[in-house]
Amino acid sequence: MSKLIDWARKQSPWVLHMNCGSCNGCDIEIVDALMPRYDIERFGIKQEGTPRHADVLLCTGPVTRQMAPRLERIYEQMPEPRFVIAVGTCACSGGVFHDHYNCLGGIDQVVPVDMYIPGCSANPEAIIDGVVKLLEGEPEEAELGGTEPPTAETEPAVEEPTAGGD
Amino acid sequence: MSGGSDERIPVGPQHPSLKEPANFMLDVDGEEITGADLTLSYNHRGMEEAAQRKDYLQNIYLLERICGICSHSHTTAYVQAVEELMDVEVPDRAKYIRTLIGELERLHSHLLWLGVGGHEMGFDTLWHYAWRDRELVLDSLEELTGNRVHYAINTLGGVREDVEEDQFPMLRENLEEVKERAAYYAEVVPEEETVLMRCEDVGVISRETASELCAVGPTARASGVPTDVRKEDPYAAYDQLDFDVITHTDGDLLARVIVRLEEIVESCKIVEQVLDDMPEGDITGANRPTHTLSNMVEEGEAISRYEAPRGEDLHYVKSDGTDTPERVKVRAPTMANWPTVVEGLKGSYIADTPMIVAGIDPCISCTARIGVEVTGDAAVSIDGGDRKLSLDDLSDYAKDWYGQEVN
Amino acid sequence: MDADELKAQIEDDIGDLITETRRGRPRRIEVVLEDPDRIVEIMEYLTGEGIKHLSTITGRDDGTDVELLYHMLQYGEEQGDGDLGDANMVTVRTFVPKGTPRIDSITDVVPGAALYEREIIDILGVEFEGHPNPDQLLLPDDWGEDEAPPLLKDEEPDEAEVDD
Repeated sequence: MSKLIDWARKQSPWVLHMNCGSCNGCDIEIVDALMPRYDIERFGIKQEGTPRHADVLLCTGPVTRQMAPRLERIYEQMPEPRFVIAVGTCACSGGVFHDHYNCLGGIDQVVPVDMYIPGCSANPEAIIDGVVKLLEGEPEEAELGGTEPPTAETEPAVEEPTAGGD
Repeated sequence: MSGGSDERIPVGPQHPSLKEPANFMLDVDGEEITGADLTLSYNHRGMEEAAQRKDYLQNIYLLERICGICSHSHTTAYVQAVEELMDVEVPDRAKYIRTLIGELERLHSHLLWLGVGGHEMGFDTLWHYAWRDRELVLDSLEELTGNRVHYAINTLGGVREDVEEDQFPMLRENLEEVKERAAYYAEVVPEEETVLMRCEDVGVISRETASELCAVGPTARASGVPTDVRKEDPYAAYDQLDFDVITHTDGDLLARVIVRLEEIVESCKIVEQVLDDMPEGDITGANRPTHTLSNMVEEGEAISRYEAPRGEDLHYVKSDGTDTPERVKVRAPTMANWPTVVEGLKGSYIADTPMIVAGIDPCISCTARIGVEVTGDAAVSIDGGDRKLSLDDLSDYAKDWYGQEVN
Repeated sequence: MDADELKAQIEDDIGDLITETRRGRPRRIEVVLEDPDRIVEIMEYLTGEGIKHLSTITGRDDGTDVELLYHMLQYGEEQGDGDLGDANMVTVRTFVPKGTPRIDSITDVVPGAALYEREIIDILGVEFEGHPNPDQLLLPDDWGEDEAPPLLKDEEPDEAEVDD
């Protein structure tokens, strides 16, 4: 772990957070990761306001039609090497919005995704885990849609309703 | 923070597909806003259309995700409407549990807002304190429901999970601490120099204006409008609980802060009563349908109102004898309050724009993408002469203008 | 005010304007306005009687018409000790034909109606005459001209149609 901390502090990856039509659940958990209890900044990870300085793009939401061109534009403005993390079930696969007329079905429908962090919402521990694993692994940039999107088996989605007395 | 060149809307014709969810146009004379206009374009996800294709139970999980901050508000408003259509009795214990989760939600939401508001005012210490205390509330919610966000406690005819005896000590302990913090905030925050500077006499909305614009929640109550769904149209266990509707007369941003602070105190009171008086009994109605999927619901209509943290949440459900609703209409509270922002801007300083927006407690992510366009005769050039900027840019400008440190 | 009392008062005052009133569960009243051209008139009456909070407008395609429900609320009376009396919701139901889906905007009488009317313009294609700012609210900018408003049904009403 200390090797990573050293690396992170040297590299100081800057993270840009972008909401692509999410309910805000994951977004707040992302901000929570910066808060005293979880404090992702101790890993040297900084939140950044502009894509031109960002290394990692944290995306939430199923990508609404309204947001799709903006997501593309932001991604294009990021210098390489750049990584995209889909945070939350909606960002991974569209979640409960996967079949809505105005939603595209996940971040990887628009830009290549390097790390999928499921959860509804993804909690701060999962988010930190995902970010750290990504930085440790130095993944190759995925082709558009090249990374296998999560399936129902691999991704713990929203609790399926159970019949009968709960 | 850097100039944020890419948070700014570029000078020149705006690309149509890059329209921000909300765009303010400010006419200014020097530092003052003489006119304001708002174009809104929501992050539309097609909820209502989808709700017609899902069955009544699935819709609980769908509508919950309208908002990650007040999801319980939406599921409760919805199931109440469906329970009316199905003529299902909800047992008292379930009503108390719904109330418990609802007030914990109000607590976490108001504390979230307190932190966001603090951050907006350049008061980051308050942000960290409020969000630290908020974690206690999230711990309670996770203990009770299994999740920090999207609790899914509701089912048709009651609640999904009971509260166990051995959970009470932890809940009470957390509540004690939150109560203490709530009293502290209510006493100290309204006296803070930063808060007074940024909020007192800013963005005043009269009671008449708030009422004409059909504002809701703390925003309306801060202008003296007497409306709180828990009192005027009681649901869940509220008709059995003792609490006050919090109103204020000044209608400025400070009033909106004070109303929320006092509501935090009231919510703690309500949670305490719920824990003390929780009735024994079942958590789902005896006459609730046993097949929870594929419920055929007789024709009918129901209008359900709920006091979400941001205000009145209305759900209208129409059934047509099948297992999917004919129509589901949701009016979440924030939409009712945008017009008061436009009114509040008129006569305010440019630098007050971000705080006036924050005053209605809109979704954080929406505000991150709000654009501002300034026309007229600005004495000071904002952001290097650029007349189109993001609300975040204006936030920095505001702190600078008020002589505060820019983060 | 008691909902039954309010309902009776409305029937007395504007019986000529409305074809039906109903009282549902507590604090719920409904009135049916047969002639949508008189929507401003009925709104002037209601707001004059202190029923002036518009919670929202619900629109629905019922096959032949677009049904519009204006959910109006009368605030509960303040009772001085942090309590409020009953707030009654009065829903005005009216219909506009799908062939000519237009109705007057009520924004002069109820300024808070502006966003709710815009929502219906987007999702059902109804025109609100006199609306000060009928810009697209919900739909993305690239929503095509040939794309139908999302809540309009294109098929003919079938047997399962709700009888209202």
